[in-house]
Amino acid sequence: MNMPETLKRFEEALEHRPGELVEARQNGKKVVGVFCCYTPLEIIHSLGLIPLKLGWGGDDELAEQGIEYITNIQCPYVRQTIGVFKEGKNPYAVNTDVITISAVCLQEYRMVEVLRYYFGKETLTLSVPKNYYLPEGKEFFEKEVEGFTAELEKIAGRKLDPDLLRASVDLYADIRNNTAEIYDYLALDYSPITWKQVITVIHAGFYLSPEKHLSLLKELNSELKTIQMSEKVRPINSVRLMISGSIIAPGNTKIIDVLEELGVTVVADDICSGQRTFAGFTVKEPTLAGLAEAYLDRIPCAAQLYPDQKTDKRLENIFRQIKDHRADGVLYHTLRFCDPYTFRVQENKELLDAKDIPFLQLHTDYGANDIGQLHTRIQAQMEIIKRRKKEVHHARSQKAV
Amino acid sequence: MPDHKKQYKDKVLTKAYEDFVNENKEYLEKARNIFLKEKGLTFRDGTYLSPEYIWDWIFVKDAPEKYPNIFIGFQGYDLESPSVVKFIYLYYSFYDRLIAASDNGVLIVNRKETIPDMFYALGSIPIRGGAGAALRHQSLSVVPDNFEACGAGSAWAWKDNRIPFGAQVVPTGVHCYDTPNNALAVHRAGKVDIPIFYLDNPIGSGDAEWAIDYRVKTLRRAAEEIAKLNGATVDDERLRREIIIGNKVRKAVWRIYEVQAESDQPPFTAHEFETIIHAGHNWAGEPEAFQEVLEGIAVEAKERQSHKVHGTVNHKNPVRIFVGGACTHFRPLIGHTSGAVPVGVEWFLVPSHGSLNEEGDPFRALVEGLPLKSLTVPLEEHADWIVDRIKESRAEGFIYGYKWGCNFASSAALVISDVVKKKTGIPTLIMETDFIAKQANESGGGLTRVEAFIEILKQNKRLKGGVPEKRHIKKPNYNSAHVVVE
Repeated sequence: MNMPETLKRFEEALEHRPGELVEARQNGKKVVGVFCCYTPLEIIHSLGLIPLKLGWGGDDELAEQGIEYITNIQCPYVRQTIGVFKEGKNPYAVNTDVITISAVCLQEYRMVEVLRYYFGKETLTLSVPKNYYLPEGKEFFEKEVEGFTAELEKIAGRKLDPDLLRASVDLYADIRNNTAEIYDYLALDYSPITWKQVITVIHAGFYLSPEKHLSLLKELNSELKTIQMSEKVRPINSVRLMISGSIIAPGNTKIIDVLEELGVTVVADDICSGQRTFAGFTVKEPTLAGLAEAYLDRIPCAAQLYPDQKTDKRLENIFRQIKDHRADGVLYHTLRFCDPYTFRVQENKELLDAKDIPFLQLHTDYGANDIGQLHTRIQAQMEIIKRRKKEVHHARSQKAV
Repeated sequence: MPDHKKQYKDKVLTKAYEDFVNENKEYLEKARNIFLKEKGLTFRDGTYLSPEYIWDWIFVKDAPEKYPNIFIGFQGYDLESPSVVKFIYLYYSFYDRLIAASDNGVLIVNRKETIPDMFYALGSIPIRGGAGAALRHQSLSVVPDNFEACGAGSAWAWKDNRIPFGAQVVPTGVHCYDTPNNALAVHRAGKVDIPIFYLDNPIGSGDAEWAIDYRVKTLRRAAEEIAKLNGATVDDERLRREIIIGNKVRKAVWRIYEVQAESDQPPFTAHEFETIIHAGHNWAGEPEAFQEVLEGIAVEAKERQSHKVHGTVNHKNPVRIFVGGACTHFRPLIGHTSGAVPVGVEWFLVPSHGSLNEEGDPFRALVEGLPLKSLTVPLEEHADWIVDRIKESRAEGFIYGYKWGCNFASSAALVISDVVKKKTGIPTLIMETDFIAKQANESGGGLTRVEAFIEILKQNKRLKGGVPEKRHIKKPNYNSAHVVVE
């Protein structure tokens, strides 16, 4: 399919971004790197700091370099991110003044400690309660966000302005709404944009200024409206999969490349670097308390321990998307040594099996040695789904006759 | 109820018992004569066990029949120390007493790294899941080997109903991810329908007032839930009394460490030392009896020390090793034949580092005395805690261990070893071991690496000559009213 024209504008904006960061820093601006997704970006932005979402994937060589500072039983995402800092070439890593971590994933938290010790980076932690669903958990996080903000104020050299915070909240809400609109195209029979492109657009927001990101998202939305009905991009009987599981960080195209090669259409995800960057998120009031509530109440990462399976929002999100986006099956992607998601494999499989939804777990890293195996396993799963679709179609036809 | 006896009978090693008894007839007879002159043990419910009963349980009746594999490590115990014999009873009979208590309606709680005080105050018995040494000795840990998490054993033993847990109270964010997840997986899979409570210690939250408040509220909530399950009430006064007993236990554990660390010829063998201080995690189901036994061991060890009697089979001038890391030990490797002796084990010592506040809100006292504190602070501070112990114990080598699959402890390995090297100048070794593949620690590659490391340390010692100069041992903040050894 043809690439929407606006995507080229995203590429151009990203090409210019490192230069902009260098210039901004020369003019005294501070760049705040953000790991994990429970840090309210609105606060960083409203304080005049530049937020960058950090973390990289897909490069086995860099992941190997990380082992110099951490063991090989860390997930490849953590190892590669350390490798990126070690290599010292990535413009976003190089131009980060302060690293912040919302401590949800223990490995990622430790990674930040390693970056502090070996690379002398200033770090700031936002603690996130595991008992996030209890009143005392919510109260703790509200206080934690206040404390975190006080530290950011020191870095920014100024106090938080409620009006500026409100403006930042509105800006990020606009970004989430526009991203959601783009993402929703994936539910259609004929989407003018692929999942891989949607993810690229989301990841662009990790680096671009939110103002620029929003303007490009709006532009893309306008363009998609014009091409939505005119270009049919895939056969109606193609396999529609949802991707669930571990982070698929910028640069990690391993699985999606295999899927594209095999003609699989990804119609949804619940990845923290994908759908969960914008979904299930409402800031009820533009204050620190409002932000704390919204971020804590978002669709949780599997690293957040929630005892009751029946009311687990993460599972609800998976099933809702399977229904809304009419996914034929779930591809559950786990990175090696990513415990939070690997521990949930059996549960996810059993729940999906009970609803007769095909489930395939792919446990992998950034190396190329299992590409053939992934290819074969996905192909086999596709065959199963195709046969099942054919049988359903046949049964419906018979019924109609 | 499962047939607990049948489960461990499958894996026993009866030969270990026969070998030990046959090879040590005279020694055992001498030790027995010493022991029978002692008083026995009194339990919390008033039960008195005579020395004859205790000796027979270990050497004649129960242990040889049920747990003969424990005799593999018996050469490391000084059986002429009566308190050590009592300790052996408390330690290895824990499982039997646990099952009996459960049959009598006592709630057994899988507690992981929380402090035991609260659970005893609520009339329940806590087990440190995944690390219950007595359980491991009885080969009860059942772990999956098909995914990349450490074998946090007892969650899986619990899943298979081998330990009659009635509740899980699992701290989160302290340092371990695998146990909370194991617990959740088992709970949500509905394998056993018992409640789970997470005691949250948000990582990186430090000692901020709001963080302390949150932990206190979380702990109190869990106590109330446990109380409901156990038909008990949350009684602050009773908890304070339990904290006082706990403080005595913690002080006794630390005293045993001090005796080992300050001695030119450490009196405990690796097996004895590590097993005793490790038991400081669970208190063997009987806090008062356990306290009394540990205090006795400290006194008897001090006597051994004053007579320059070193551990039963230690070398005359062993190299001194400090062990860091989580959920790991090296007693099978730093054995009595290796010429090395552990002078401290971080994982076993941290829970006993200092007293809890005995006044005011007891839940706050429990929170502020959080065990494994060294693992929750920033890495550099954690490393400094180890550096302090290394210096005061005059360790000549440092081994940092972690379990395969333990992302959190493993991720600290390089930083901590680097800090130790920089600040102490001693050689360091990072060892990855495994709950599952026991042979990985105890033979082959693991053994070779530790032996080579010990050889380096011996060589260094020969070059430097003699025992390292004595250092002042920093006293943690203990209640001075709790006299252990004067």
